[in-house]
Amino acid sequence: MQHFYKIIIFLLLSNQLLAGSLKGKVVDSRTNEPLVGASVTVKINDKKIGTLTDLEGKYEIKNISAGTYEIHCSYTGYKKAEHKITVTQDKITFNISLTETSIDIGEVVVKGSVNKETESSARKSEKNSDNILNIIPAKTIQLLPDITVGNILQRISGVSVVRNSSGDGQYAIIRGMDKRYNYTLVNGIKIPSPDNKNRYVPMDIFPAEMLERLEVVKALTPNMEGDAIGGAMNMIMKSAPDHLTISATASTGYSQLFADRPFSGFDSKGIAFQAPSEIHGSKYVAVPSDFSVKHLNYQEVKLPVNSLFGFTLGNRILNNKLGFVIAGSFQKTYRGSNSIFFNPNGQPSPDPAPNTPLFDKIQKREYSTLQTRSGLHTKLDYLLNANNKLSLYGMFMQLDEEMHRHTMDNSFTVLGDESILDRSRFQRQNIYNATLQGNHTLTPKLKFNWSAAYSNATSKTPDWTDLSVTYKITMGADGKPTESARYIDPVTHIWTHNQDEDKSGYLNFIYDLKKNVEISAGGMYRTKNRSNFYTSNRLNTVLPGADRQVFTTINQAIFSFRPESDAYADTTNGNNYTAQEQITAAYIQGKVLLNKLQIVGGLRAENTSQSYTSQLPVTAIGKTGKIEYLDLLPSVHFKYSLDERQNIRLSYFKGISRPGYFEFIPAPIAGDYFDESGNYNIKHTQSDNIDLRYEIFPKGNEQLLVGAFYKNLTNPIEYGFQQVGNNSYLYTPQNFGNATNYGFELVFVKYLRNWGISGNYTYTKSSITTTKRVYYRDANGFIQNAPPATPEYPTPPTQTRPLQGQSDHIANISLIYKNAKLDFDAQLSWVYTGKRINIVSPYKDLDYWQRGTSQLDFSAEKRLLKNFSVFVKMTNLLNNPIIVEILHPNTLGGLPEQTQDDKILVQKDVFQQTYLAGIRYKLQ
Amino acid sequence: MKKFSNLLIAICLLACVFSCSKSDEVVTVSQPLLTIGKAVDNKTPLSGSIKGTMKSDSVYNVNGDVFINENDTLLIQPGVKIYINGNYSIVVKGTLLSLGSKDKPIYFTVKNVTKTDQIGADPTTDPAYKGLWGGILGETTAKLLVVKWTHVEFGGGKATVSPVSFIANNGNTYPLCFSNPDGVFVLEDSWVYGSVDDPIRTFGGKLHVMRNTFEKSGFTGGECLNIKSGSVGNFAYNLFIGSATNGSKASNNGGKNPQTTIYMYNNTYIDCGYRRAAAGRGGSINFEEGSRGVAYNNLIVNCKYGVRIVGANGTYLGNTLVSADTANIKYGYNFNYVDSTFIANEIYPTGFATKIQSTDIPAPGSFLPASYKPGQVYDGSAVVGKNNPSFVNFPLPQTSKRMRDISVVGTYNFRLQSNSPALGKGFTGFSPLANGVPVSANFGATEITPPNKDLGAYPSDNSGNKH
Repeated sequence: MQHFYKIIIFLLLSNQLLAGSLKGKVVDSRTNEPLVGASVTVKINDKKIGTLTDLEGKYEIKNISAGTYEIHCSYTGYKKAEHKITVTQDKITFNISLTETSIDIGEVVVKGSVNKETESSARKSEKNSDNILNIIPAKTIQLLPDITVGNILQRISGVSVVRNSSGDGQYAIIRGMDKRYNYTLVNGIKIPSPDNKNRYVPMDIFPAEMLERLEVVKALTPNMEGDAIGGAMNMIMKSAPDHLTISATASTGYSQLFADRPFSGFDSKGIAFQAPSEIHGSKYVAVPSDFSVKHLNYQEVKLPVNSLFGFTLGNRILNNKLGFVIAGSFQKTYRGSNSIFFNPNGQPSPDPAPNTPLFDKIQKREYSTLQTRSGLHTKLDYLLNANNKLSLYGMFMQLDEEMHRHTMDNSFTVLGDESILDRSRFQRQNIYNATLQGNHTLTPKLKFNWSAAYSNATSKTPDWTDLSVTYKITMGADGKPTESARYIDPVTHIWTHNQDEDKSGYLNFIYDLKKNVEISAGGMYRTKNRSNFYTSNRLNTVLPGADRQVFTTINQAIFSFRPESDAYADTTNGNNYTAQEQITAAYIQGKVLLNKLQIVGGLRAENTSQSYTSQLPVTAIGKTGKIEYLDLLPSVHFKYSLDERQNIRLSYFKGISRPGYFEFIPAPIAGDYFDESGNYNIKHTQSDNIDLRYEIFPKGNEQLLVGAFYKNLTNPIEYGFQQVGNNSYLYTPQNFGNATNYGFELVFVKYLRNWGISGNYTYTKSSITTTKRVYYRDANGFIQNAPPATPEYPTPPTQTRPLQGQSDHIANISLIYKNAKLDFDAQLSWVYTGKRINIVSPYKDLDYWQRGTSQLDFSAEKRLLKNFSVFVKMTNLLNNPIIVEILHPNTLGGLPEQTQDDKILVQKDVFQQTYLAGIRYKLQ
Repeated sequence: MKKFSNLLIAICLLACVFSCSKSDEVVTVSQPLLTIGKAVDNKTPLSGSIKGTMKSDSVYNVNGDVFINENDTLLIQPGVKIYINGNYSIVVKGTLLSLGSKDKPIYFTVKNVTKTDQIGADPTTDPAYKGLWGGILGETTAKLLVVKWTHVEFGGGKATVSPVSFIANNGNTYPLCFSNPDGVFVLEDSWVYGSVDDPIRTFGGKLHVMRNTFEKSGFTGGECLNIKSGSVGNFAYNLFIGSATNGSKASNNGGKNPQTTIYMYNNTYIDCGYRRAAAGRGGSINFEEGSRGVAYNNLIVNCKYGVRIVGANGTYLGNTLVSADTANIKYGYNFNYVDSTFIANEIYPTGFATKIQSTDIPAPGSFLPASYKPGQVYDGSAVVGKNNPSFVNFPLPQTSKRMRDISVVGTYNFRLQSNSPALGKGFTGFSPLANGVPVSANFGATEITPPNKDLGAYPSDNSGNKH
């Protein structure tokens, strides 16, 4: 027995001796940043035992007996490391540092690009950048629940999104600055918008998986285009890797919305892309048979299945001289929402109090939208020799949207007219870009690069059709409401298409004046050609004898052109216009490093020359117009490095924002209650912007940023009433003097072993005072409008409010779990967008405010085999609706869906959850 | 005797004096027609800016939009015929005086179009509803638009490229339109025939619309007089026949001052409201969205709805119509004649705020329940065919002809026979609205006719409609 104990003790001891463990940290040899997911293996008796480093770059291999071993460490983009270690103690610590891969071709060093997709490289770029920016790299995007760039944007500090009717982010509001104050770049080249009136680009066109990085630049340097007051969104698309890389994904899923009600779609095949007047000429007298109603037939599908595919193929060939990447994406998603919308009456009620809210309809809308998003891009770079490199980039993006909007026009009607409206709208948006770039080292001190870019953005909505069927509810003799027969109202067919063709060239010279002084200078020229086409035909449904037509099915409806003038094309509609724009810019920029202080600054000059041709008559003012102005845009950026990991930044830049192309054109567009028009007297917006930021990067992938900003805007563009004749007013874009916008930002990322938490918070406060209208009853009991000047309002009433779209508080928090050993990543993301103005009412105190809203999303990925992994993405887990309110006491009574006494709910959009599961193949 | 002869001589002398004074000539010569500036040349078709005088009895052709500029005046003398040969408009930025006379009316019309005025003609092929030219469009700067004894026919077409600031390209024009709240618009003793939408729309103005006849107004929608904010005036002694929707409608929408205030009195509405495509809109008189005024002494025959006042409802009814300034609308003494229960049930339109007035004919008490509340459903069958107004020539009850088929006056005569129950029932205890329209033969209203004791547009003292 005693012997037995001895054996046990011996075994335990020997076991203890045998069960030594090896632990340590893997870091970048140059920066000492931890490398997450690096492979560490130990060869014991021809058997490999291995592990992967965790979020802090740490590894641990247990059960190693004393002895000498070979330890191998590898990490993508880094050279493999091999070390011999001798294990003598039970626990030893061995740290490994890896060196970045570089391929030497003569003197040129090509860095592995895969690195740019990692989180630590993004942090490194943020730290080393000359100006203030935030970056989301591909590795982070991959794990996000978002499938479009529009949705990713909301994860970035200081950015909130404006959603489309399916609930997906479409436009970015950066630091409270509305979409008009920001621009979009692809690989640093500005791209045009398929929007028919404006410059800003809908960001839901871009599939998320094609990005290497998404950068949001919040302070402009002189070498950047100057028309971003909020910020510039730069989509850096996947670039050529240093070795063969193949990846592919396939995923599928559904929207919970269509589990509860069917998706009601239409077939867009056979929709005529050209209007009859385009086929036959504008003098053509159309006949009803020219117009198809096929797409007003709806098919219901229960729980349609979304399908998404993506691939990337890249390599470097020809003795590493030619690198290429080709990536494609195809997403077919069924999206939708259920919405209640209170349509504001054109003017409020003067009773019982001035500007009492008034609604002319309460609509219940059901959206069924099939989005087909395809994207293809390719990047080639070719090294001519050590000093010269050429690259070619090509991108083609297409978003097809088949949207069916089913509306109950007055779904709460007890008595009166009720209409059922169906809208079939097929829209195809394309963005195409081709950029040829050259990088040349002319002398060891002088570098030169150039870009020539051609871009074209188009949008087409062929045969947009609206059907309305009306019936009347009357009180029957029995006291119960009875419905009349259903009558079909006239059907309109609208064709629109617009194009923005953009050619630009960029030149930059960079000269190393001294060791720590770099001077650069360059210029840019862009010429833009924009055209807009619009035509519509209204097909009447009146029967001979002026009888109303009872609705049976759309295919049996009888159409006519009565009056006959409806058979002619509507090509003189004010929406038909052309615009040109030439931007010429030059800059000079210096970069000086004084010990720990880096100063980047300089001056940019931008000349804008804009012109338009409208459909106004020659007898009207402003049928054509030309607008020219020159801006001098200075900027200076200080970066003081407290140490390797900490910076303090202070920057100033002057930025501008150009009015939309259509905003100059004084063509009145009929509104129900007041006409709207452009205004050739509006001035472009200028802004002085100051940023202060402290940043610390404790470890490679961790960070803490604290910053504050202040913007002083001159001539921001807001809409208001403009007098155009005796007692006549138009609602037009105008300048109302100055506005201020300030706030602070906080960004943090912290990892603890396998857990991570990242988040950001932005506080923004902006203020603008504009004229507003008051509709009231005067002392004598007469109803009055002010403006014009009245005894009660000798000067026009004004209102001070935040800028449209600016939320006081926006925040993101993500809880991240990464287990390299299990090959499992998961993330729970919460995004909060505070209260903000969605629609600015022309009337005082009647703005439409979106209630603060949050969204919770979850995503996870698990590697199964060497090259395969599976993932899930779930969005809007809590099904939080978007709610819009008027901040006016709820005195109206009887309105549906109301929850509070101090405000009136005017819109509620419900999107429900989406679920997506997929498989990823990756060879790299 | 001498005394007598002296007296005789004196009488003779006196007689002589009297007869001498009687022998003075009484001279009546015609006054020269008002002429302003130079004569407008009628040899070449008109297009572009015009001013001056269109000479009496001349014929003019308009082959493009014409403009009367801001400080210019165009005077049209009696008997002038203006043919508009295409979708062109007459844009009034200054002053237009169209001064026809009873004997020599002025015509704004088109060539080579035959009116299809037989009863029951198909509206979908009727040239009256095709909009064969634009309209007389008063811009926001127009000072004065005076239209007297003038026919305005076949207008209201589309403005391919709109010549005015308030109509979009390809928008429907209105045969007569005014848009300056500070300007004066006088329409007297005239005829408006046909239009696609409203024959008259005002976006502001000091209005005087009296003793006119409106026929075939609006194709499948449209009011003879569609009045928006900034408009103040009197509409009286007009005959509205076969309007698509209402005869006259007042609304304060459009954001102009002053508040729309319209006095509608002594008008006759015949068979209005039956070509409206959308369900129930209105059929005679409408007050909506913040408008105010009066409606007295009107004679409403077989119109789809009686006087309709859009009112606020305590509970939400989802109606797209916005409340009129109900506290400031006065009405009564209105006469309704109906030939079907359907219309009888809408003399006081269901769902609306029109209050019963004891002065109305038929007496509300004779067919409404004692508990009647505005907007309530009721059974009006008791008044079908009652109180025939006894027109001189318009057969009632209207049994053989559908209401919607009656849209022109033709041989009808809406004067009242001596036995008419509409005689002597009028209210004269109010004055026309004083809105600054001058009384002037040439530069204002000929006469602002006060309310009459007889109902409708044709009172027995012949002070009303002269057609």
